[in-house]
Amino acid sequence: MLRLRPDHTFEFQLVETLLAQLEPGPLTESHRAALHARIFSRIGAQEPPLPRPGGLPRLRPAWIAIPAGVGIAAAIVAATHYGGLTGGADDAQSGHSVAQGSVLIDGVRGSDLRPGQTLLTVSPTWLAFGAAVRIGLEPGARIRNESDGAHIQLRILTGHVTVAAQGGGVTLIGEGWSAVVASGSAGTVTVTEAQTVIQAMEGNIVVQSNGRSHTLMANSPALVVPAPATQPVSGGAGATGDPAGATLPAGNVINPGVTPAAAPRALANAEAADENPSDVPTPVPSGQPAATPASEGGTARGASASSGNGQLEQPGLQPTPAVAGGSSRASGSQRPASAGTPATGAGASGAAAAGGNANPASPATDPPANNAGTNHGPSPAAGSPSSEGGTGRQTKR
Amino acid sequence: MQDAWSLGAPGRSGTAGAAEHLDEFASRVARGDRSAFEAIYFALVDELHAYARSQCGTDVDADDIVANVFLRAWQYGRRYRVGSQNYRAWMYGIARNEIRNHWRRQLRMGSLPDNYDLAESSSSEPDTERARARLRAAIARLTPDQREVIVLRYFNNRSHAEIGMIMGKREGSIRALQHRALRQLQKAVRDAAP
Repeated sequence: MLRLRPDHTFEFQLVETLLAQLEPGPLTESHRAALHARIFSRIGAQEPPLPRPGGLPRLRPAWIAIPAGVGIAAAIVAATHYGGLTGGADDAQSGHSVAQGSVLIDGVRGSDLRPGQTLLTVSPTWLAFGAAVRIGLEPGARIRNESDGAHIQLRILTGHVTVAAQGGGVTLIGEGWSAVVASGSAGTVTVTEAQTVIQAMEGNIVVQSNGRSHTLMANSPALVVPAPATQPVSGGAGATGDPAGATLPAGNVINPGVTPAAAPRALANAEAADENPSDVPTPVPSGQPAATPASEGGTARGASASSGNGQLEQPGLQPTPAVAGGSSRASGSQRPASAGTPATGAGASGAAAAGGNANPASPATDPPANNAGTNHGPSPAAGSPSSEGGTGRQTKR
Repeated sequence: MQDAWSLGAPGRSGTAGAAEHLDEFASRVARGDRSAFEAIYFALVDELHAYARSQCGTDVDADDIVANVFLRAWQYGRRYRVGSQNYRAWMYGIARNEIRNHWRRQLRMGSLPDNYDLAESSSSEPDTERARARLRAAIARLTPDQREVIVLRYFNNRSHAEIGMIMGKREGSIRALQHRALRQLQKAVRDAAP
């Protein structure tokens, strides 16, 4: 029977005993000396050491192959990713866009969204109209491309959408409202059965609803437009039972069926802000951080973008009193357009570039923020190419 | 000379300290220090000779092999990577190559030995002596790899890890080779038993 030793080798007692007896003994002194004399009498010159190429450290092949493989893979992924995202200028003009993510276009899996087609997102998706406009869509969002040859126009049917425009404006349409996202602006639109919540993050968004025009800026409260078929919201928190509505002050709600006189306080504030000369967009010095688009469930922080706690809260989705009061809004967004945060990709990467501490939310919850992180265009606020390497960016695949 | 003997007793496992000392001597050899090379010679000659003798069978062949090993070690001393603490394995690697060359020459000359002239025992018991003779014959019939593992493990007292480093194989492979070789040797010894 073989026994297993602690070093996991089997014991062959008989053989090993015999082997030990066969072990040759040490050389005799004379033998060793003779061998020594033989060797040292013939010792000659030494060969030079092998040259090492370029003074590089000697690496095992695996240590070279693995980074090389990773590098090649990264190059392929990057080429595929950016190639898909970066369409030509013609794409924006023609209203044709390319989706990065799992989407159904008119019920069929695809990636090219053309005018007249409806897109439903299955996974977080980034939609690019050339390099000019980027649309971030959360799973379940449904939009229809109603662009014509000259202008990009999207109908938001449902879901949470983030829009960032750099090279040109975008028109968004919903039930009972329409909005124009100006060039250099970014914002979010959340459409539910009960209401639509619109918020500007950068620049300005002009919303038309009930025959009135409202200009939303980054420091403006969110605008809530109840769906035409639903009961008007009278202003009490939680009147509709919707958490978003519950957190928003009555003043933020626009009821299409109510006269403008009953327009919300916050909206009035927003309009007042339009008239405030101090809010006139001014260029942001290079290196000064721009405000950053918030992400659902997360906060985007810019170093100097906020005067309060540096957080942009997303109303409607993150019920916090601060949204209504606006006390915690980023004051840096008082010069949104100037920040020029362009946009596509905008805010987040611009802020990350300048502030260097952008903190986008996780990819699973906030595709726009992630996409914003993959800013491909130069950011005026960023000021320098190196700013694109700001921290806190995430890349959506 | 005292330094040399402190590097490890002949035929016994060297310690980590011995490896460091060997490395230190190797660095001096790379600078052409002959006294350092002498120290290495006295530290390793016995085990290398035992290794060569176990592989090729005779003292004369082992002397030739060991002489060539040390001459090459001096000649290419600057190519050893000082700091790797692998000098012993490096020397065994040279010895392996020399033994292979020896076998190639033997094959060309058609003079392969039938048996291995392993150490004779002083024991006078006839049964034990017969068993040893059978074992010597069985060792000769092992595959070269198995034989090398047996020699390095039982005659040179190298660890599995060291043997793996010398033979360029994984430790698990060395264990497997050793197990198969021992099983074969045991079978040979028992089968021949009266």
